[in-house]
Amino acid sequence: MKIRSLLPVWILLLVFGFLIGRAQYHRKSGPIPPDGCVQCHQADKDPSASHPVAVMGCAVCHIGNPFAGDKKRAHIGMVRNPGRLDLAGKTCGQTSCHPDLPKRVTHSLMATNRGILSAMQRLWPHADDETVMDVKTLTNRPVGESMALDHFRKMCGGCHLHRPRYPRLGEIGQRGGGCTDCHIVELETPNPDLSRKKFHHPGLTTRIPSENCVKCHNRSARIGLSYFGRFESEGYGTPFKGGAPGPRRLSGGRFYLELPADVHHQKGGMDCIDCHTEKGVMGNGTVYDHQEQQVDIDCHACHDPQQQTIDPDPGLTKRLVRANNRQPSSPSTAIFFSAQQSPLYHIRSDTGNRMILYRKRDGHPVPFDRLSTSGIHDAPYHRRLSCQACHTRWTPQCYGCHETRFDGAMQRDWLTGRKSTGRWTEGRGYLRFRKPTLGIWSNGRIGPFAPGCQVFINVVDPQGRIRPEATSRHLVMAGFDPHTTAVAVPSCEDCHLDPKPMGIGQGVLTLTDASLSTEPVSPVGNGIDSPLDAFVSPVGEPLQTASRAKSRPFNREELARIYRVGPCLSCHDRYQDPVYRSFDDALQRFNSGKTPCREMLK
Amino acid sequence: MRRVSGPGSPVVKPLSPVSPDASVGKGVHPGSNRWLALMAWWSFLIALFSGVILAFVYRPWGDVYATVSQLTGWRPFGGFFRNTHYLSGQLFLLFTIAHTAEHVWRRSFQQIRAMDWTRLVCLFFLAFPLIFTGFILKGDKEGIMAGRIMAALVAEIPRIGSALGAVLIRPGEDFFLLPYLHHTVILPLTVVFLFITHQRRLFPGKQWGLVLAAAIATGAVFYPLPADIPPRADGGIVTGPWFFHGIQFLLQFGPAFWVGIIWPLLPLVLLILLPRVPKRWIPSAVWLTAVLWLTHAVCLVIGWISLSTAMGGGG
Repeated sequence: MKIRSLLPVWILLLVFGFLIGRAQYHRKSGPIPPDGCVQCHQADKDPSASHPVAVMGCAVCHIGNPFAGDKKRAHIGMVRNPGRLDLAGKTCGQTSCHPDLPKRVTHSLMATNRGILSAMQRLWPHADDETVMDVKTLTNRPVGESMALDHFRKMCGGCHLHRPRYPRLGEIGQRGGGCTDCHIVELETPNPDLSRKKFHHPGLTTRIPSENCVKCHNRSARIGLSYFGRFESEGYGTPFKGGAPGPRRLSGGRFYLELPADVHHQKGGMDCIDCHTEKGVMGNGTVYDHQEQQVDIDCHACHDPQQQTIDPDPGLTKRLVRANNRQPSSPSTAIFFSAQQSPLYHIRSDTGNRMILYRKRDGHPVPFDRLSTSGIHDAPYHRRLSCQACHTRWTPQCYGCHETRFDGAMQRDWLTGRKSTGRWTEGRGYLRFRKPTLGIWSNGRIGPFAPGCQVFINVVDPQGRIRPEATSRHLVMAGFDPHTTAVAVPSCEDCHLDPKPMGIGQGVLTLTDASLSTEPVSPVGNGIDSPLDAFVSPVGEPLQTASRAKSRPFNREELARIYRVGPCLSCHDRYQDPVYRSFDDALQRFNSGKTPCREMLK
Repeated sequence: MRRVSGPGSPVVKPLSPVSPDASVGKGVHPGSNRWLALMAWWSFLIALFSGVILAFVYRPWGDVYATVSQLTGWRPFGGFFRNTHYLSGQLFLLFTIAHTAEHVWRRSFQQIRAMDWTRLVCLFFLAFPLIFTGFILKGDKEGIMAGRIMAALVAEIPRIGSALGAVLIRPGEDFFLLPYLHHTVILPLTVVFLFITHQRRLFPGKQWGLVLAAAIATGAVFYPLPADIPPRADGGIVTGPWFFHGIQFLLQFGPAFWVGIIWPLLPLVLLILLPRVPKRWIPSAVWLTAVLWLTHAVCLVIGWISLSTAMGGGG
């Protein structure tokens, strides 16, 4: 009886004995770690200096149950890539970390792809009732009839921040992943063996390597290639080496030629982030239609900086300087700001007209001059010129984009990851790196244009026949900064006597008293009645659509104003020449025979 | 000694008292109404004891989930005491339900004073908010969602909703503070007060208490506590405490005030009113109460199946 009644006591003693024994066996000494993940996983290094595992642990970013003790429970809710944009609000963007960034980034153009979507839906075959302006909405929608959106899904949709990062080889495996798309140091898709005690954790950085930008920005406008002196060449693989195509290769089996790089890279070794600010790249929370609205720097931001005595957000400057950790000193406030008030904390005034930029990558000083005002940059007759109109060394130009859709075939939809009906193939007419076509940008300034894009669409039915009713073409020229800046500029004749910069296309210019005519070099035919490089006719009629509503080629009056200077340039070849103080007056004097020029011409 | 055995209840040999002063436990045998009451009370006392231990570490502010995770997985014996607290709390609820149900089944509410019956029903009622607030205090995704649902339901009550909400749960940094206050102070004190005025003894039937403690301690070593879902975990389906599944299911279809407040309170009110019903209507009242409780049970089962299916399919 007594033993029976004491049974519960014995059981209790047994349980407590067991618990004490277990606690001794699993004895944990030392201070409580930030989480228990390190019991099983230990990285070889911290992700970054500002993300020390010893202080922050793992679960703060990767979620999960940090002290669960067993694998299954510990991994509930865990995420491999905390940078995923759909989760960023709970990980990178949690209240105590970077709370304002996920909203800004999800509204930015790299996440919405709004610029590409709006251009394609405006210019390609597309029904208005299917219109969509951000990639996330499109992802959640069933595939529709729009040819523009079908092409986007299968060709363009592989580059956006919402895209998950797939463990695939090559550039495709390096793209996507939200915050980590840019902020990760190693480009290859991280796939560490986590079962090892010491595994390699990918590094995180705010000193974004340019490779992270170029992995996406190497097609279409190709600025990521041009800036570093690479021109995507025709697909011949020349110059050959050892009897085989040359080694200068890009992703997708493309080849490139080495051309002069942008002077900022060539002389200063500058990276993309040395110019592009955090607001310009990640956005400011506003949903913009086009990149020129979101990008908040231009040449003036550094070369003609406006000094500001009040820092609108001193905390931001401090944080950026601290995160960069390469600046020679830590100014409490920046004194130069971008158009959207991003602190240009890495730019300082030096003596006289000199300035210094400290590279964000390594803090190396890059001295440079302020904009000179020696009668060139402030010449009234060139006041509409953008910096790029003159300082662009060369421009990549891809003419004729031949898009063929095979209705009977299947192709992977980048947004869903699944194959769907219709396969696109893409070919091009020809590639050139000549001087650019000039025209009027949407901001009213004169700047470079290049094909963007000149699309010839053919649709092939499942029986292999071309569907004539679905065939279309859309010739579009886009204004942009080619990112091939040079200090040297073209001569006056290069613009005023060459039909290419005027937008008329490469050819032989003939100027008579009454009008202008050209003999084009580029071919005409195959259903098009003007050369592909002709943005405008010699009489000022637009021949191609401009990619922005407010941008356009030169009109008749503007063309006349450009070419009427041409004949004078053989003698009046200096900016400071008195005839350019008031060219209209000089021309009037010339026409009335009051100048010695007519005598000389005779 | 009164032997009570309901239909289907096992006839168990009564356990002899271990000491002369354990008079309440004397002759009490498993399945009897008194035994159920005793088990309910001892479950509560064990929950109270383990809860006091947990309170040394638990903090209802800051990152509550991290605190709970640390308490469970890192602190010495933390997991054991949390498991004990969980199991004893659940047993308190189950034994209280069984105790009340047996009273209704045997119509013994007719033999006791209406006030005593009201006290018992109040004890029965308090078991639910006790478990519910404990569920919130887990601080995981389910706990937070349960707290939000509670706040939303309370806000639906006309006129007093916002005032009641201000004393039950508040959003923001104090989200866990009021449920903590209710769970650790107000509700346990009320239970103790009601029990003492009901039973007038604090530790009746110590032998049974020891048996229960041994059983729960053994269970706490081996029983896997339901997994906590990190508050930041993406997607998935979160559920409330098991007794809330029926209401969670019905909330998809009906207005929150009627489904979430009136519907669960209705059978409770009927329970309280049972002794006050005229004798000739008692069979109908009992029948009505039973039907309402059974409907709740059916909804609970449907809700549980529905949630399990959803979790299996998409969770």
